[in-house]
Amino acid sequence: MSDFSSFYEDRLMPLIDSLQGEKKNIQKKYFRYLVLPFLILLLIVLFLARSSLQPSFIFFLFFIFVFVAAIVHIKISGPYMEKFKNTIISELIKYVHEGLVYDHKKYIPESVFRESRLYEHRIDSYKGEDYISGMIGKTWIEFSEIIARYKTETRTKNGTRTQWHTLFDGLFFVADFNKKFSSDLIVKPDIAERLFGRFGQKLQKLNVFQHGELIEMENPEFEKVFKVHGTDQREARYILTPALMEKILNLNDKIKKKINQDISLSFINSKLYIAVPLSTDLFEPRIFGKEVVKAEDIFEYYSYIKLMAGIVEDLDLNTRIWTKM
Amino acid sequence: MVLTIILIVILLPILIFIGIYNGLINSRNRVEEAFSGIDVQLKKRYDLIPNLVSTVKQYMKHEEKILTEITSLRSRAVSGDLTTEEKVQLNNELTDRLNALNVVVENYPELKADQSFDNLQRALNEIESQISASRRTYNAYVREFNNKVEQFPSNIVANMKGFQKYEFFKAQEEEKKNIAVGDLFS
Repeated sequence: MSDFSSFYEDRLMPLIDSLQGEKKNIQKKYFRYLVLPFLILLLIVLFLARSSLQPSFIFFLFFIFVFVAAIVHIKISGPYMEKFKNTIISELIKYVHEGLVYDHKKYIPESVFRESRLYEHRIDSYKGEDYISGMIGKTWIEFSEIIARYKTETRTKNGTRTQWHTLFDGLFFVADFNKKFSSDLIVKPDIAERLFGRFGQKLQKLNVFQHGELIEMENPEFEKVFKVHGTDQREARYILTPALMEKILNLNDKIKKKINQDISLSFINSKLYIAVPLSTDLFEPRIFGKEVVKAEDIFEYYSYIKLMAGIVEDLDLNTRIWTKM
Repeated sequence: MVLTIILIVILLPILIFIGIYNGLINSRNRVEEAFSGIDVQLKKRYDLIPNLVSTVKQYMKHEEKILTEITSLRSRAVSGDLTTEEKVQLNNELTDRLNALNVVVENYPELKADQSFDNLQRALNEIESQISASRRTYNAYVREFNNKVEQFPSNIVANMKGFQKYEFFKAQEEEKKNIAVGDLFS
């Protein structure tokens, strides 16, 4: 811990301080280009309201304003955000592991997200940022923030109503697994069994929408937390050894302490995919308020990077004693 | 109407019986298939051993005993005519001896550096993992089948048709053994 605080003091603080001026500058710009125009607009509207103004026209004016404001917001804060990520977050990532590279604009592509078979639902909107990748020992990893959503349309009296649903929001992690295999294996939190016990297990067997067949593992604790589906019973056990199941449980406990949710994993084409649900946006600076970023934010970001990079060790992925190098 | 009810009363139990019986057969086939899955992996290991022994021999001068033991266990295993228990017993011994060899190998840095030995050892680790996976799959199917033989109502059909429970494939716990051997040197 003291290591990290000295790193924070010596390396990050100067970088953070150097952004302070820029931040003040954009706060001024916000006032000049957003707050002031808004107040003027408000005054005009109030003034015109006396002379019978159509409410729909007022609404239209505000709509235009919000639209322009969004563009102005990006214009103003964009360079500042970029600088924050390219210096401070970049430095932080290098501190966690020398082998990691950061690209805040990139993200895990939708095709890879799809390959994981963790979320089989149709996706209508797929976004991401903060891509981190590199070799940790003998293992290649990559992860980024991802938000995948789909929409539903329901007919109402006034036409159709579109609703957006979040399929996944969080950190999506991919690693090269240390064993070679060709079947698909999907490990997801087991909601049915926790709610309904043995009966839930029966229900799972009937689930026709799930890819592959239900595989029962001999570790009762693992079975309580996860449900396992796969296309090959034997290969599923080749991948999920008793030792790995223990390690996954430990990793899940560790992550659950932070986010209070279970992770999902899948093993496909000799790759390991892990979905860590998370509703907070990581690696962002503050725009309002005094500081560029709070020390606790930085520590939070650091802990997440460490957690994700630590998966390699937690799941022992650098042990490469099998035929796959 | 009455006729339909009579038909249902007669037909329904027959259909249930057929359903349960087929389920039992299905489970039993899965058990047997899983057992042959273990066999395939065991054979792969037998095939690797002569190569392993000849490679190791070039470097090891003082470990004749382990090597002869491994060779003789292997030749007994491939000779055939073994009951399942004998096969399990023999292979457990073989695993044990191979683990012992692994410990000894630590004393021969040149051997460890040998590329072909490295490949062999990877292949062997691979097969060990596959054997363990096959064994666990077999046991999972045995558990499923045994449950059917014991649980109501399928136990009725199982008794009528003389289905017998299967034994689990017991393997000595390799991980624990490894630690025990390691402790001797610490």
